[in-house]
Amino acid sequence: MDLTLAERFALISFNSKESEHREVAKQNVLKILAVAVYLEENYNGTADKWNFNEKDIKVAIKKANKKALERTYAERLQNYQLISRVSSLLGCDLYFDKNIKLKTYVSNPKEFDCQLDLLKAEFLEEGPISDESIIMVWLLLESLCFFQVFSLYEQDKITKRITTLRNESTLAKALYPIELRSLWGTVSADFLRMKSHAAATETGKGLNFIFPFFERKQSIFIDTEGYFPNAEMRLKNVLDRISAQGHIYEVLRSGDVPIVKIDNVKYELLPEAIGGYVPIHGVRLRLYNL
Amino acid sequence: MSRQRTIEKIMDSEYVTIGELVRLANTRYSTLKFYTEEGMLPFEQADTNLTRRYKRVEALCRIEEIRAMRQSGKTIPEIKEILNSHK
Repeated sequence: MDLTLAERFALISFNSKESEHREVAKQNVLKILAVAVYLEENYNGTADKWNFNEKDIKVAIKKANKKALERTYAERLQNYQLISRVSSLLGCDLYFDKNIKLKTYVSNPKEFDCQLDLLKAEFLEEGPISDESIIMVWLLLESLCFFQVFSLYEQDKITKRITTLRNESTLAKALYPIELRSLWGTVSADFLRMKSHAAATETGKGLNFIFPFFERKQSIFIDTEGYFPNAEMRLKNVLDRISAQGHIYEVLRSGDVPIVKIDNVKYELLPEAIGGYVPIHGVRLRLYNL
Repeated sequence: MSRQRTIEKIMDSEYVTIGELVRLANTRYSTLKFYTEEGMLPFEQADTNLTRRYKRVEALCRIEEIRAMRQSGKTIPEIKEILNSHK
C-alpha cells in the first residue's frame, strides 16, 4: 500500500504503544510524528527536494497538537485497516487483573514487516538509499523506536551505514546532525543501546530473567492453569490465552523454548514455575531482539 | 520439518524455496521477502496456504538484475517502478 512518510512512521512507531493513556514513549513518538508531517509539507515534488532547517523543525514540534495528531493518524490507519487497538499483553500477566483497561496499538503485521523489510533491503544491502528511507531511519532513531524494531546486528550495520551516508548523501549530511532528543532522551538512547548490548550476553539474559520486576512489560508471566507433560501442549495453552485477548501471534520457532511473535514483537517463551503455597506453572515472555 | 537440501540438489531443482534462494543468491531473507511482497520477484503458489516456490533460474536472474540496477545507482522504489513498467 502506498503510504505517506508520516503514515509509514506512525504505522511502525505506534505499534505496542498505549492507545488510551499518555506514556513517555508515545509522547516522544508524537513529537517525531510532528516532524514527519512538517517534512512532508515542505517537500518540493517538482524539484524533488526536502526543504527543512533545525529551527523550523523545533518550531513545528512546539506548535503541533500531539493529541490531535495521534487521533488523526490512528483513525487514518484504522480506516486503511492497518492498525487496531487490543488489550495490553499485560492483561495476560498473572500479576495483573484480567479485566485490565490498558489498550495498545497493534499494526497490521504484513504491512509492518513490509515497511521494515524495505529499510533492511536498502540499508543492509549494497546500493544507494532512497531519500524517504534516509529520513525514516532518522525518525526512528530520534523517536527511540530504532532500538525496538531492529535486531542488535541490524542496529550495528545500520549505524555504520549512517556514518558513511553523512559523507555520501546531501540529505543525510543536513538531516542527521539534527538532534531532537532532550538530554533525558539522549541518556535514554544511550541506555537502550547499552541495555541491548548487555542483554545479548548470557549474564544479561539471566539478569533480566531473575529480576523481571525491572521492567514488567518485558517479562510477562502467563500461568498455564495446569501442568502439561510436553512443550507443545504448554505452548498451545498459552497461545490460546493470548489469542483470546485479541492478540495476533506467529510461532517462529517451536521447541522447549519457543520464539513467538506477538503483536509484531518477538518473545521467547520460557517455562517457569513460581513458588507459593503451591507451585504455579506457566511461561515467562522474554523480549527476543538479538 | 523436512531436512535441508544439499546445495547440489538445490542446483538441480527447477523450483526452490525462499530459504534456498537466500543461500544461492547470498542475500538476506528479509530482502527477498520484501522483493516478493512488492511483486519484484515472481513466484508460484498452488494454494494460499502453501509455501511459495520460485523458478530457480528465473529468480536468480531477477535478483542479479536488481543487484546490477542497485550498483548502477538506482534505489529500490525506482527499480520497482522499472520492473512494474516491463510487466
